[in-house]
Amino acid sequence: MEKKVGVYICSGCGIGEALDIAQLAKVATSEQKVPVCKTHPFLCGEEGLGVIRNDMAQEGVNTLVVAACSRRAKTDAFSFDPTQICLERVNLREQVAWCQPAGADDTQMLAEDYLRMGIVKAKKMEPLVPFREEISKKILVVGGGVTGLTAAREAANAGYEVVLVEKEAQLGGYLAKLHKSYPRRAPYLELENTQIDSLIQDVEANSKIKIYKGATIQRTAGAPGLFDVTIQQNGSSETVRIGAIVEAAGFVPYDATKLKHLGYGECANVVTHVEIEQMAREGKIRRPSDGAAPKAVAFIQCAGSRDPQHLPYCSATCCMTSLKQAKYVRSADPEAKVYIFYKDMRTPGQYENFYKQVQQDEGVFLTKGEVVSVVEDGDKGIRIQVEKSLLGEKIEVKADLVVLATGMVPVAAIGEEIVVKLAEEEEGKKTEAEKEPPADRIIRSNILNLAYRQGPELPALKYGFPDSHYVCFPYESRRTGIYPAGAIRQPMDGALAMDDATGAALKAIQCVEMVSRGEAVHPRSGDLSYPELFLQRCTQCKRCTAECPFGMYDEDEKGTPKPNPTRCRRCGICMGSCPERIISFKDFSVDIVGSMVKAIEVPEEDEEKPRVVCFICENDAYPAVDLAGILRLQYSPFVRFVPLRCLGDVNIVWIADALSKGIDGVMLIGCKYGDDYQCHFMKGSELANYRMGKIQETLTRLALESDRIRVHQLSIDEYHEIPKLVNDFMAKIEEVGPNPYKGF
Amino acid sequence: MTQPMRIEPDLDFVRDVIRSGGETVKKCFQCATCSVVCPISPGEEPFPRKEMIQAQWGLKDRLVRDPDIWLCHNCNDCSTYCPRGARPGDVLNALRQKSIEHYSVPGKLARMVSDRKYLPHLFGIPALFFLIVILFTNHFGDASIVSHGQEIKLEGLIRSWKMIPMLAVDVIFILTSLLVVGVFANGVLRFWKDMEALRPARVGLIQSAIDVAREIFTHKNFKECTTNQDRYLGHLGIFYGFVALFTVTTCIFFGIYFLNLVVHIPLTPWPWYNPVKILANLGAIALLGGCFLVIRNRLRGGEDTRTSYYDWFFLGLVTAVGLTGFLAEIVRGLGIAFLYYVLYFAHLVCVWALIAYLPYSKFAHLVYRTTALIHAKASGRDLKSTIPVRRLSEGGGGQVA
Repeated sequence: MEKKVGVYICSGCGIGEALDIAQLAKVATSEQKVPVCKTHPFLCGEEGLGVIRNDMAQEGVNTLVVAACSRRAKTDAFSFDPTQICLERVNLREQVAWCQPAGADDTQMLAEDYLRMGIVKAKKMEPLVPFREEISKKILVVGGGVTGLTAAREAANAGYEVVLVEKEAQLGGYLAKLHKSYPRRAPYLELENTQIDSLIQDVEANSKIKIYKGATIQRTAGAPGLFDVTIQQNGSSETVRIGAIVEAAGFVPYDATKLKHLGYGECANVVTHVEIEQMAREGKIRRPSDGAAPKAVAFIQCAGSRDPQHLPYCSATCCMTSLKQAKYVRSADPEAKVYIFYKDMRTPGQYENFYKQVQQDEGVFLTKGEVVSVVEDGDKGIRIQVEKSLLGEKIEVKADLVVLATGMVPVAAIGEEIVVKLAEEEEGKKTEAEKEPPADRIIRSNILNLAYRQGPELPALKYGFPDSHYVCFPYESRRTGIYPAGAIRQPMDGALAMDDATGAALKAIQCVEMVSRGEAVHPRSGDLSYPELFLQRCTQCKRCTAECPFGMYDEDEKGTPKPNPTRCRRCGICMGSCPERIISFKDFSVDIVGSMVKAIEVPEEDEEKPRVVCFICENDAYPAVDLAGILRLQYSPFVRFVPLRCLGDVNIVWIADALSKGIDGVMLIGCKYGDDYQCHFMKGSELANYRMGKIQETLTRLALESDRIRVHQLSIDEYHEIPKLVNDFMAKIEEVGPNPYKGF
Repeated sequence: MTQPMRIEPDLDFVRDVIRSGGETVKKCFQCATCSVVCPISPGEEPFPRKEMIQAQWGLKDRLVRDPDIWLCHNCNDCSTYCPRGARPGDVLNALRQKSIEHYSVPGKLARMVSDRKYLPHLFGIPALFFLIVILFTNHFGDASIVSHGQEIKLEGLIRSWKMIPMLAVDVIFILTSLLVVGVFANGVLRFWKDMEALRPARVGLIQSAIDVAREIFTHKNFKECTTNQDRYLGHLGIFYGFVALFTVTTCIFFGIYFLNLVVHIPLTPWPWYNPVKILANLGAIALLGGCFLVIRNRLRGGEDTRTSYYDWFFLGLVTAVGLTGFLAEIVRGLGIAFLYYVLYFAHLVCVWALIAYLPYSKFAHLVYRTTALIHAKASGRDLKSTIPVRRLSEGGGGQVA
């Protein structure tokens, strides 16, 4: 397609006051030879936009460079069909006019560099062609407990076909094993029926839901919209085409046989929550040793929970469950005593009302304390010793029956931990400074059996939960199109599980709809670009297949990557990893960014105007820089920000490009990584850090100081640190001195 | 390794406490705000937090012997600040009742005093008894009597001893008082022994007693209370009212029976300008004024405290004593004979009840609290919070300074 570039410079919002617009326009026209260049004092208004639209209609302009405010502002005003028009936004406002002194030479040079970079990029961009294939909008729900049933029902009621796979012979999961549920609605005082039966009925009666009971998933191949799921049932297999998956396989109670120190297995009359619930369901709570009704029941909370030797986390529901079961005992026998020994009583939100009510029962004795010994007595009674109790001293209590409140373990955490092979390392010894590329933790839990190069299940995060870690995006696992919900992703009770299921079902629907349009689902929602590989030059180094945080690439036997575009989140980390630079997007490539860097004008050494390139990711770093501008925080004019989708996009060749051009330093600012990561693409900034660690050796060989490269983690709320970060780095560059390759 | 304390909660005791005005005891979740806020709780093992959990757990044996429940002066700062509405002030009040039932024998009588269905019995039986005595000893039909070798004409006179001779009254009351002293002796000795087992007295008893007396006479602990200044004034009035009236009664007793042997002391009533009479009237005014304040306080009560039948019994009885006495005096002065004798009769029954039920009603605090305070001083358990607390009234939002 014949590209005709139009540059539109807005002089509103203080841009006109800070810069010599006419001079700036000359960069576009005289220097870059752009055919159309116009300025307007209010470009985002109807008149300003009219100028652009007119040029598009009359002059055939099809590539726009809008030099105005940040790309994050006025997105609906500057909105054009990316399959027809290429658009590049140059930030002259937040990143120039607002953070630099008006009218200064350095401010002008900064604006001119940005315009150059924008024009160079616009010239190289191509209109997008969405990835279109025949996709399925069918939703697979794995697990037929309360979460799975609710997700299936909600998706079916929204009009989607659902396939529900449950490994047991009957539906209902753990909720079906309860006698009663603790209260789930105001005033939160009475026990209620679980109502799981009506939920099962609803699902079984729904014609849009196909149910497989006593079935497991043998294999899941493909990608969102194009999953081929093989379901195994009664010895035979069936493969179904699926659009998105809700993983609601639930939990199992923590193995009480590990709790010998609390008497399980050692004393006849020590049982778990699940066991006493079963007794209640059958109508009689009895001591296992002699079948007598207990006159004193002791509940030990946090049995194997909040304990580094067992489950380090809290399972959220055990306190309420014990209170409920205390009520079972007390209503069966008003003279029976119930003891509850807890580390804390956790009854969040409105559940506090239920706690207060059970507290009022004169026969329930609550105390905080540490249970230090559980010993069987002569008559099979249990003597419990509790230290640090509220009664001020070590106490001993005799109970007829002891109930251990054990925690929830997600089924995703149960299985053999496997190591997925990473990229082949280069020959030669590894130096101490070199780090390992970050790897995911995969547990073969036999839930989905993904035919993915990066492992057969969702990566396990903290404590083995396949969670997303984002508070705002709770269902986003590390595999696109697969959404964990319910107790498998976080310990929760039936009430929360139903909400969770609904959310995950909605996500699954969103996924199939967007994929059918060729759009990325999250976080670059609506992005029509996707990576394209020039495979002729691929050397099968397997960096892209290993480093993609979402397992987008499968491999053939030789190791050649096979992309699955619907799995892709368009982050560009693969682009950064490829040493041969064969991966690119139509609107974003190694060449594009490299050309942007090379477009920067680098003054001679004697002018004493250093130049620093700073790569910033669009998720936390770019908004932080914008916010610094909005707050009019001022900083060094010598930094050129280059926006990327993710810091993981940084290809080492750009560092070489920058340094050989005479640029004095390169800084990378991205989201935080680690245990409490903020990186929106999971591992991007960590990979950037890892890659920069690898080039220390190269730098030394080139007699360049390693201080010239710096990687920094930042979160969006640390915008006030931008001036300090920038100025500190500039101070270091001053100290280190100008790039010796300047002017070559 | 310390031996653990074996615990067996007494479910009946928990129910008992709940029935006796401590119905909010189970709401406590042991945040310890009450102990921090209490102006007179010591810094070590403060109250009332531990009493709350012990009451929840039905640890009867511990609680009835606990001297701390008596160190509490029921100012209710704790109840005001309690975030859960557990009203520790009221719970401790209920616990004191249980303690009284334990130490004052027979406990059955104490339980009757706190149970409103026995009200007719507790007053009816003594009233009947007095009526019988009056029936046999009254001088209503007589024209004159001989007293101290003198003949006194009865026509037109309104005199208590026309209805019932002073000797009869005095004998009945002295016998009753001796019984009461006996019950208290038993209770105090057992209480002291139990307190010694917890924390032995090391400092001199006499000095401790003097210190406590000083505190009581100045009402020092009442002044510590911040949410309720009326309590100080109310109790002060009642206390000094009683002191005055007791002094007066003693003076009259000694005057009429002993001093009279030396110099002629006329029979009561004495003229209004008599210093003893003046003291008596001042005492009555103080007593009634105090009762009024206390009643008003309790009626205003609010969320933080509830007044039970047990509380009203004692307060009602004291007020009745004051009112019947004072009104009788006024009515006699006005010459309304019939009303006078009715009021005097009521006064007699009330005063007798006050004394007879002293060890079993809330009035027992007179002896038990004093004992506990003396022991506390003697065992070094100082009644002073070691953590300074800035209170709501000082604009600190109740935070620890």
